[in-house]
Parts: sequence; C-alpha cells; structure tokens
Amino acid sequence: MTDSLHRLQLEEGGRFLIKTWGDEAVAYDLLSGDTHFLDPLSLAITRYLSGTARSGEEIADHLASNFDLPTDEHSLDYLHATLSRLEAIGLLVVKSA
Amino acid sequence: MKLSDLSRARLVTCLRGEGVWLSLSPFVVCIQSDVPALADRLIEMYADFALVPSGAFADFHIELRRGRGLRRWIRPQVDFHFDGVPTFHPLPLDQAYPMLEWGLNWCIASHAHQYLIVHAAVVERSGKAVIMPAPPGAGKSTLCAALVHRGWRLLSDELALLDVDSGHVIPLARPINLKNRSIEIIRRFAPDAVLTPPVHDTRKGRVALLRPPADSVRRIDEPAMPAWIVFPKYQAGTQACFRPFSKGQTCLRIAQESFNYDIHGRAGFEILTRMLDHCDCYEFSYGELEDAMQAFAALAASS
Repeated sequence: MTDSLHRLQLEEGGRFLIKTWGDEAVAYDLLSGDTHFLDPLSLAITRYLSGTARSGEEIADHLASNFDLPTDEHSLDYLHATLSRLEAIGLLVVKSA
Repeated sequence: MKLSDLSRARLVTCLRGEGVWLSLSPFVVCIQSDVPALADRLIEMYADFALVPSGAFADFHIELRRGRGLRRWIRPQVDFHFDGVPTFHPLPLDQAYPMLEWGLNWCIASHAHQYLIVHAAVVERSGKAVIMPAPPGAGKSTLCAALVHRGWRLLSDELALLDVDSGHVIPLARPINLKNRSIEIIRRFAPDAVLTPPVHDTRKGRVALLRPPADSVRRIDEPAMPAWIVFPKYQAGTQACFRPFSKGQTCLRIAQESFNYDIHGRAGFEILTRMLDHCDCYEFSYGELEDAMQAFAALAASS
C-alpha cells in the first residue's frame, strides 16, 4: 500500500480511453494499444482518484465507508494488488508529497 | 450466373485454366487447381454462389496444385499458392478442399483489414445478429450448423466481419467446418443437410464441410446489426442455459478472439465498445442441440 508521502492519482495526460458500463469498465491504452478490464473495485478507485492524489490509507478508508469493502487483511491485500496492477498498467501514477 | 450453371467438365476446365471467379460478397476469389476432386467439392458447397466474369478484379488469387515429382505419385500432396506464392506446408492430396477453406480463412483474416475481424460464428433472425466467439472445441460450429437449419440465417461460421463505420456484420456465408463427432451429430439433426465426404487425419481431426443454406447465400448482400454476443460452450449432460455476462469482459474476450483488433488501434476499441452498447452479452452452455434451439428461439422472441 502507498504510504502517506506516496500518493496515487489517475493518469490524466490523455493516455487512456475509458468506457464504462454500470460498475465496470474497460480502459484502452493509446500508448501500448492494450485494453484492460476494470472490475467494480478498479473503477471505484479510478473514479476516486480522478483529479486528486490520495494515499493508500485514504483510498482504503474511502472504499470501506462507501462500498462496504471489509478491512480485513485479505481485503487489504486484494486492494493492494489492485492498486499495484493499476499502477503497473499506467492508469494510476505516483505523486510525491 | 451461378456456379451450379457450370457443368462439372466445364468447371474442371476453368479450374485448370483461367480459374473460377467466385463472388463470396464482399470478396471475389479466383480459384485455380489441377485437383479434379476439388470441382466436386465446389459443386457441393458453392452451387448457389454467383460467378464473376473471369478477368474481373479478385481480392484473392488462390491455386491448389498437386505436388510435383515423386509427390505426384507417392503419398501425393497438394500445395496452396496465394497470389502465385506457396503459402503453407503441403498437405495430403485428399485434404485439398479443407485446405482451400482454411487457406481462404487465412487470406481474409490476414488481409481484409477494412473490417474488424473476429473469430466467431454469426447467425441472424429478424435483422438481429448473434455473434458467437469461441475457441476451438467449444461447439461453436455445431451450434451454428444447427441454428441455420432451424430458421436462423448464416452470416459466418468462422470470421465475423464488422463494418467499422456502420457496426453491421457483413455476411460471409461460406460452408461450415464440422469436426469429429459434430459430423454425425449434424447428420442426425439435419438429415437433409449437404455435407462433403469426411476427410480423415487432418490437423483438426476428421472434418467435413456443410453447405450453407440457399437462403443465406441468396441474402449474402444483407448485413445485420449485432444484438447479442454469446459465448457458447458444449458441456455434455447440461441443460441449455444463458447466463448474463459482463460487457467489460466480453470486450476483452472479443479483442482476444479478433485477428486484427491491434491493427485498428483506437478505432478497433471504439467499434467494439460502440457495438457492446447495443448488445446483450451471455455465456451459453448446452448439452443437447434441441434444448439449445429452444433457448435460442426464446432469446429471439425476447427482443
């Protein structure tokens, strides 16, 4: 999970086209040509990080209070893996404080 | 003029000479061959297709030539030439016709980039198309063959051609490729269906091709709008069942089953997502064709 100095934000340089259907989406990477599936958790994260950088704690708190995401270790691991994946594909970028 | 208007002798002469120019709408293919049995297969499978005057523009020039030298006599082989160039490893001579179909699939999938091409069967009823992408072995062709003998129009067995401007599926109602047990299943299901004699020991096992219904060939210039994306899966012993499926994951699976999604780039993504806006998506499992037919009839009636 990112610490409070390491904040994540949605990539907003126009690299991705995002198409949403209900609570899921696909993101097309104009740079690589890859298409990625965004499950409801990924989509909720990208929406939350649109325009504002947040720490891992803030993201976890937001998801717990708005989407009933459990705060047990397994759920936090899943959230961590999701953030890592979104960062790896370039959809989330790190903003230093 | 249709292919069935040619006598067998005339067809053999054309194949050996200037070629047979066949309209598959939207493509014209020129076929040349010195394999006489190929004429019989073309008569069985393409009787209802229109011929184009020789010398007209052809999208694909295909030649199937018997092997030379010893290969003419000992374990004879056939070579596939595309635009005059040998394109694949030779196959046993008795596989000449399947090779023509597989090679033609390759020609279209590798060159017709004016379309977004997806590995999928497509059938249509009342102007609405069902696109059925599936990996080999899922029962796609068997299901497609059964549906076109129960009132659905064949648009394609292997290659769904999506028009990038209109989003329509462009018909390519060529013969349906049946493999192994599917051959007997369709013979029992549709006793009037015309199939080629099975060819054994191909790289896909035992194969036979099924003649496309005459009505599907007659309407080969009528595109259809996709209304459903269905991922079929044959599972012995299961009841036919549609399960709603995620549009996002459908998008990814179609991209994976496409031959040229990457070539289209952003436009490919936009075509696909635009299409999904107007389609319902399902996974479909079935164990019996009759059950499957009823389920598809209910699907059509539900719209």
